[in-house]
Amino acid sequence: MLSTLSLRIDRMEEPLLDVQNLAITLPSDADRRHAVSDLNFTLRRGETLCVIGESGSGKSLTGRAILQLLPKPHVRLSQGRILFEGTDLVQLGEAGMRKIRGNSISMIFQEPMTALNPVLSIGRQIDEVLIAHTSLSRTERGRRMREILAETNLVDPDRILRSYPHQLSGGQRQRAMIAMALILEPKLIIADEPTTALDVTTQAQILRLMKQIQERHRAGLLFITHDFGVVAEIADRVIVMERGRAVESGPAKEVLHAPSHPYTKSLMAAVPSLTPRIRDGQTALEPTTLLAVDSLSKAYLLPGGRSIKAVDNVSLRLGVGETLGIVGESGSGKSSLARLLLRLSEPDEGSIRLDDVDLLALNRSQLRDKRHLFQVVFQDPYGSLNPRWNVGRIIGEGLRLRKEPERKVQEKSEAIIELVGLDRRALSRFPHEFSGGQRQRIAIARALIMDPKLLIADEAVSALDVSIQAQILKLLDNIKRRLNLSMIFITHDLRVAANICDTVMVMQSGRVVEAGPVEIIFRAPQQEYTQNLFAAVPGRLETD
Amino acid sequence: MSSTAERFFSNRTAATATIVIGLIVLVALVGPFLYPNDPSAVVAKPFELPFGAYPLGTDVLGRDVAAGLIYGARTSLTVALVASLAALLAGTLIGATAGYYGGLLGDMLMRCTEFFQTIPTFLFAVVIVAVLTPSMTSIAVGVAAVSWPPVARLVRAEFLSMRQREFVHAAECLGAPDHQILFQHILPNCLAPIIVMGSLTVAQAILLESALSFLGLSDGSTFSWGYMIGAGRTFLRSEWWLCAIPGMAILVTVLCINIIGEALNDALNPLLKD
Repeated sequence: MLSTLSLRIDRMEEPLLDVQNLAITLPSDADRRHAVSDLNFTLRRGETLCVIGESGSGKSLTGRAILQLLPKPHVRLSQGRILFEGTDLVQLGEAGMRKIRGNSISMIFQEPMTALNPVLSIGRQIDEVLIAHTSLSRTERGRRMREILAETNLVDPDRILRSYPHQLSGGQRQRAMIAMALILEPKLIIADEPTTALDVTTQAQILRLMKQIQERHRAGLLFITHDFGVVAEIADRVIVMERGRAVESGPAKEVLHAPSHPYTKSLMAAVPSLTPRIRDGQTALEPTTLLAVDSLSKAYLLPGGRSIKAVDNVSLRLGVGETLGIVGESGSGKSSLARLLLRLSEPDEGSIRLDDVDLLALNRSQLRDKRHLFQVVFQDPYGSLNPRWNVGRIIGEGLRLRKEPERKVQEKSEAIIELVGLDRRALSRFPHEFSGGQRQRIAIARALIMDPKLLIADEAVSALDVSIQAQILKLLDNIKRRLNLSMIFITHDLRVAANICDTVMVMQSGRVVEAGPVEIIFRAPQQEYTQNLFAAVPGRLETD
Repeated sequence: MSSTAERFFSNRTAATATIVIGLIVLVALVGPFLYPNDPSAVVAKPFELPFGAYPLGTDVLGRDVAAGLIYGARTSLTVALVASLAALLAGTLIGATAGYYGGLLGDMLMRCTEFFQTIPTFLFAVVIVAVLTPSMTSIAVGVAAVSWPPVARLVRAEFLSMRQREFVHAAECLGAPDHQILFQHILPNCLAPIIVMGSLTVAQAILLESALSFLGLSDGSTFSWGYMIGAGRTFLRSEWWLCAIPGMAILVTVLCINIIGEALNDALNPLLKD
């Protein structure tokens, strides 16, 4: 009874945003004609609609199309209507759109560092919005700015107003962006991956904040994301997009708990579970130690003359065939530790023994001879391959440096490229011809061809879509078993850590907070920091 | 790479400039074999008007101006090219070392570069040429000595940012020695700005060489455009073409090389690709 009543009220109210038959055309040399086609959705006041999809699904272009911010003339809106409170934004023209942007509809971007102007103070930038759209006096504007910053839970608004973007943390910057987007009380907020660049704990705070503010102002929120956890946390309704089409839509609960479209199902299945996998019972045996690190420390000098301990007294043991996960937020020192283990930077104190060789005692040329034993896969699949070299040269480099005969390099390259699931013809092509996931496979091949005993993966799957991420994780797991490889897996994503690690080490500001078998740490974290980290993981899913 | 060439030649001005430079280089290469007169031989009475018996007239001593222009092109272009190549080589080596290794070595190299940069360019070149006694070699040395610091600073900045790229770390982890990382991995990825800088350095070098010759700091026996302007400057009010003709040659050459440099910058810039 109650539900039919509310349904009737919903019907009576005109939707805030009504997108009909939207189509966005791509330039003629793109891999498909339409970035988005046949897209229909509505958004009511006070409602949160999540648009979820992988990269290239057209979700971000949809958000931009509403504000008429498509990168013309290459990408243009070729069909459809975008009704905002009954006005068609497509027909409105540039002058009319300027009145609406920021005023009635505002946008929050992924990376506040690039969305904010680095040479203007936060106060100046928020003030500009007020000057452009209102006729408030200087004192009124100041009062309004302090109010809105207080509303986004920023302590000491006066200091924030005087600060420049680089003086704030990522979370503070994103709060300032949100404040800027909300100051004119827009009826519609479009948020394009606003928490993707943030740590989990900060993400959890920002999501809570956005939900609160949206409810308080009864604004419509169009939330674009790739993360099912975030959807579970914030969405009322969901649209799942695949290659420019909405494949499924409906209330968040239904879509998340009983997805009907195979694409949605496969996407959800690709999200790693937060519950550690059950491992085959070989863990009882104590494996022989491959890597032993003792009280490793590294301090960096800051410009002010002070120094910061990036890695502070870290010790660890890694057995043959084991995988150790190092988790922590940004700035926790996990990547600095990786650089030390890779011998890319010099520690201040401590020791690193790999296979009973003291890596710190070697001179430069001795170290070069040992480097094949520990290899690395980096995060950025676009930056980790030399763009001017073809894949054959990239993969073969290590062996050629070891003066292996050309015949052997060829044979081994072909074998390894097939091992990582690529065609051998890939060897003659250049990195830019491959997708992110394929490039990551190439990077893995480059590491594996050296027959390493230890593979260090520094956020190796963080830049990939979930489905690709699942494939790469599976590949790494397979290879690890086949070659009895030891791995150190550095990640900020606890789901990934649960999926692949045997033991986990939690780091915070350079120190090890907690370490132990993955089942124990994930089931019953002892330290408060670890507990907070787990609590902040967005949206518990069915599989968790 | 072919798409870079396409983008370059789709710029009409750049295509024209390339043709003009091509013609000037051709004249410098084969002109002396085809043109009958020696530039230093007295062939007629002084101050013959252009477009008479001699295509560009004769100068104060009755020498053929056209012959001077052709032989002068050789000198000016050779000195400019040699000096620019030397400056690029030195600048790249110093900049690459400073950018890749950084630390104390990098600081020392950069302070040294800045020291050279603070000396007024032209005065420094004059001093070098005067000390080494004027000749084509000393002019090339002088021009190179004042042209490398900006190259070194550019290359250092490029190497400094490339050094942090993941593919460079990956190569280091494979055990690649420094020279391989510097010249096989980083340098090819910094070539675009270096090429552009090089083309602009050539234009600068032509101007410097001309200015030095104009001041009389040149080998008396070899003709160059700057020397011709210097020799004609006393008659600027009555026989102005003696200065104007080689002046035009310098103007056109430098302008074309600058246009090519700008166009290369656009064509090699991946951000402007579409």
